[in-house]
Amino acid sequence: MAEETESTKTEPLKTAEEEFKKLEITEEEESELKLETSDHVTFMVEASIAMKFGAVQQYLEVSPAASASATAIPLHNVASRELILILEYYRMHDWVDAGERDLKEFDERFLKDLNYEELKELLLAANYLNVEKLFNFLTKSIANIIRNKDVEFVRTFFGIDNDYTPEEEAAYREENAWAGVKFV
Amino acid sequence: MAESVDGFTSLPIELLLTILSQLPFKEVVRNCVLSKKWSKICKSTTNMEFNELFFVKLDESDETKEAQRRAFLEFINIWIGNHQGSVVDKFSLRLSMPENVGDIIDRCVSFATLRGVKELALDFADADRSEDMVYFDDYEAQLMLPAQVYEHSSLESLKLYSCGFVVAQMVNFHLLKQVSLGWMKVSLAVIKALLSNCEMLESLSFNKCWNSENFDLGDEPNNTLRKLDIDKCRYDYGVFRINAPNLKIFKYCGLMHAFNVEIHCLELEEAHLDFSPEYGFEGYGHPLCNLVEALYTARLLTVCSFVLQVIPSGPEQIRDMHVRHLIMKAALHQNEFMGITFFLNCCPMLEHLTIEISSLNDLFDYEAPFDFNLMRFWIDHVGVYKCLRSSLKVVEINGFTGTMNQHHVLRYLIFSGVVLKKISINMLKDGSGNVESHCRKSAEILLTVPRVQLRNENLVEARIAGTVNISSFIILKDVLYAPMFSFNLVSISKLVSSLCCSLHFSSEICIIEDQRTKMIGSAKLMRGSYYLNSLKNEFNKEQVSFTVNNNVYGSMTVPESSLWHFKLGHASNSQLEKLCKQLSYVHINKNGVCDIYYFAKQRKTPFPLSSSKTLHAFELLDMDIWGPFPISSVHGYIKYFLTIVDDFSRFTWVVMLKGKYEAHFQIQKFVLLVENKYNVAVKKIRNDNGPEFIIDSFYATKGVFHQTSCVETPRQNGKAERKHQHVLNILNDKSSFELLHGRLPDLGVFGCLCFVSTQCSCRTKFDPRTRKRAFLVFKADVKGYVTCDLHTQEILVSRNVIFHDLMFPFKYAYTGIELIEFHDSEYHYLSGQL
Repeated sequence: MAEETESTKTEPLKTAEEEFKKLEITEEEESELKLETSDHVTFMVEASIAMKFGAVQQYLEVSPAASASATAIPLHNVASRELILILEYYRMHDWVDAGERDLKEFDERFLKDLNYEELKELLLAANYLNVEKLFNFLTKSIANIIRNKDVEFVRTFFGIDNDYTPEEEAAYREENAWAGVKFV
Repeated sequence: MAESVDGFTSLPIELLLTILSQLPFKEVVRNCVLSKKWSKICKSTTNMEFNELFFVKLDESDETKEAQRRAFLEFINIWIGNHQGSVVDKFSLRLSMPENVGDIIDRCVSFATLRGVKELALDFADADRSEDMVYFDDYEAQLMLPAQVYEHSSLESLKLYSCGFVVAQMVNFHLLKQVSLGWMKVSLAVIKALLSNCEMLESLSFNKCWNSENFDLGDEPNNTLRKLDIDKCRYDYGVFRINAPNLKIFKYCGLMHAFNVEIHCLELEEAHLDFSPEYGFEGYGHPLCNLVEALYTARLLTVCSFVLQVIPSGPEQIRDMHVRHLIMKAALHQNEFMGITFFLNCCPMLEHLTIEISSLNDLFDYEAPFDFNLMRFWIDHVGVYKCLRSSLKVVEINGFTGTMNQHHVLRYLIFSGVVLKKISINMLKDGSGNVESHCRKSAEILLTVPRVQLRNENLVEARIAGTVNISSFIILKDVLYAPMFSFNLVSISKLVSSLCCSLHFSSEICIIEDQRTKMIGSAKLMRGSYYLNSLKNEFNKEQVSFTVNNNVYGSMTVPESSLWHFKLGHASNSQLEKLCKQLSYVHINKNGVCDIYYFAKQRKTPFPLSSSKTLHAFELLDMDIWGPFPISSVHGYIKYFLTIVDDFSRFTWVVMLKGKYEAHFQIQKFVLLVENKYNVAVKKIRNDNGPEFIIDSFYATKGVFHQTSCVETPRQNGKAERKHQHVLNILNDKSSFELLHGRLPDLGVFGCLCFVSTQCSCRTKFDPRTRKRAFLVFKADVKGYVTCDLHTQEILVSRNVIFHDLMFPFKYAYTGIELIEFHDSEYHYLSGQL
């Protein structure tokens, strides 16, 4: 009995994976690319996803041999931890069956699991890799954090040193009172 | 929340700028105050919005307004002058009375176009315009679009409010995806030209546009259009035609008018219909149904109070909609109830229902499709629709105020929503605590509404499994105790398989019978479910026997006078009396009552011959049911018969039954027949304790006294039981002959040989004139004898019969005819005077 249930559980997963692979193969000839992160971890990444990375595209334009050969494409500014997250995000968003609501839920969870430091690192990595979708998502998310917050919060959030003199600041606040700049 | 993160300052400026540009312009301006470095970043934001209303407050005096307007214009000048960046993505300008400030507008537009603006919005409509107005003036464009914009080919989005344009010049916008027009006259020719000039156009919105033409975009399919938004525009909607196969979002707000709708959009995902400005009712039902039907592919549908009130006046049913999420902007007024049920019925795949409580759209000539009792509507007039049974998971109500109607609707949804997982009730924030506490109370009551959980797809955790004895006959094994369930449910399939019983369902009652068709339980229909009746007698019996047992084990002293009774093993008094005569020391206690004597030795009291007899026919009827017979009748399903014996005349009626459940009906039928035929009222009916005889309400209306025999005492029902034996003997055809022969010459004997004339119409000269047949029965409703052909076993009713009572053709050769009865014929008597 136990064996039966196990096999029935794994089966749909397997078929889904197979279908996924088939799709890839029909879409693109080469199946995987080798990527090496800054901490020297190599990843085998589906070409369909790797080609979404602007940095990878650029590298391949310069040295097209890399796609065929086994040499890894170096990603100097991306650590393995970030690359795992980025791949997770793209695999989800690349998944054919993912509905709009699934993606929304996934994004929320994805963001919830990150602390500010990880968020920053990920933003830098996304910027370096030139992955547009994730980059836009992250900048929008950060903007949402500081939206409708008072000036002091934003200062603490970004760690900004106020280099205005109190007079200058008061004058500016007075001038732009319409934008909701109030005195603290 | 505000944990210090030093990391973000180290981000490159470009990244910070990207983040800042996501913010509304007002906040960007505010963030200039953060530090000098940030002031620079803010001043190169790519997203700019200059809105006159940020500065000008409409309720101020004219002079102040003028000063505020000047400050606004100056701010634009300064900001544009100080702008550090080389790129602008979004540029929005809202400015009323643009005639005098043409230079600033020109400067703004050239500033934006030079920096490659992608989204341009120019709004020159009046500052004090009212958004909600239904009837608006014929707005005219205040200004023409500056010429340099036509050259700016990288534009992706263009919003022009009260800003005229020359459509013929719009030929360079190869990337333009969104166009929003408002507060001016837009002719259909312009819209068509726009659609053909801008081949990438995906989204088209109209806000307070007007023209006197039909909104007819023609038959030619437009494959790029994804979104169409028409907000309070004034067109003649006599014909409303759109052919956009890829349209995903359709939004309409405004008057209904009479639509002649042709919308071709198979890919539609969202449809929003808002007819809140509408005030009339008459005649919109069918056009509205056509419109809703045309939008059937939409997964998200928003409807308003008007739709809910009017749609039931159209056709009764429309095709199934694909709606997954339905938003109702409704007051949950009784006028809207029919519409709500209409949509629940026609959206079988609905998963999410949102009710936004809004004001009722009061239609002056509203007519309800039929009158209903408000309190009973959600009980009487609604079914459990498919979506409630299989798909509706989330119900959301916003602006809940706890009125009776809201309560009823939610109650219904909770009760009937079999797969409902989540209900969120968002109360109206009113300030006064009164409303809130009322809401809270109402919401709390809703929590206690019982739920039908027939086939819950979530697994419910069962804590304990065990056996439950409902009665001595119904013992349920493997009963799962699930604390989440508010009902105790019995699975019919399990019940049938474990008890080997059968269930008969009727409109009021379900009878559970065991293999021998003895009734072991019943269930009453209440509110769509059958409730198992608790068999109280059964329980009482058990309790009684239990208490008696307790007494047996209690302490007891033996009185001296009864000593010999105990010594001789609880001998009976009659035996002791015999002893007493011979042995003087034996005492008898005649007054004592010995439990054990009775427990061990009591016999049934004898049944003396009853001498009481009734004086009139139908004073007393004895009834009993016999069956089931192991072999079905010729008609295949009759296994029982009900015997009715009149006590006075001993006249007997036999009624064939398909099952015991028919007894109710047949008894009632018989009593009424007697009344009619003999003009006598039945006074007393006596039968055994079979539940099939219990029709108290009927007995009460007829004044019949219903008498039952004691449990397990069929002798008290002797006449009917004896008659059974007799009837069965007749069917055995041997004793019947002995009993009947000779005495009643008019009667044939069951199974005897007879010759029956063949029908003239089917006979030729040389055919035999008669056929050999067996006599079966007299039929009460035909003047003739029922006979059976010996060879073909064909059954015929005829009066030309010659009997040979002593011959029994079937006596040895049993040919397969077993028991024959006639349906729907009256009570056919087998013998007159038995």
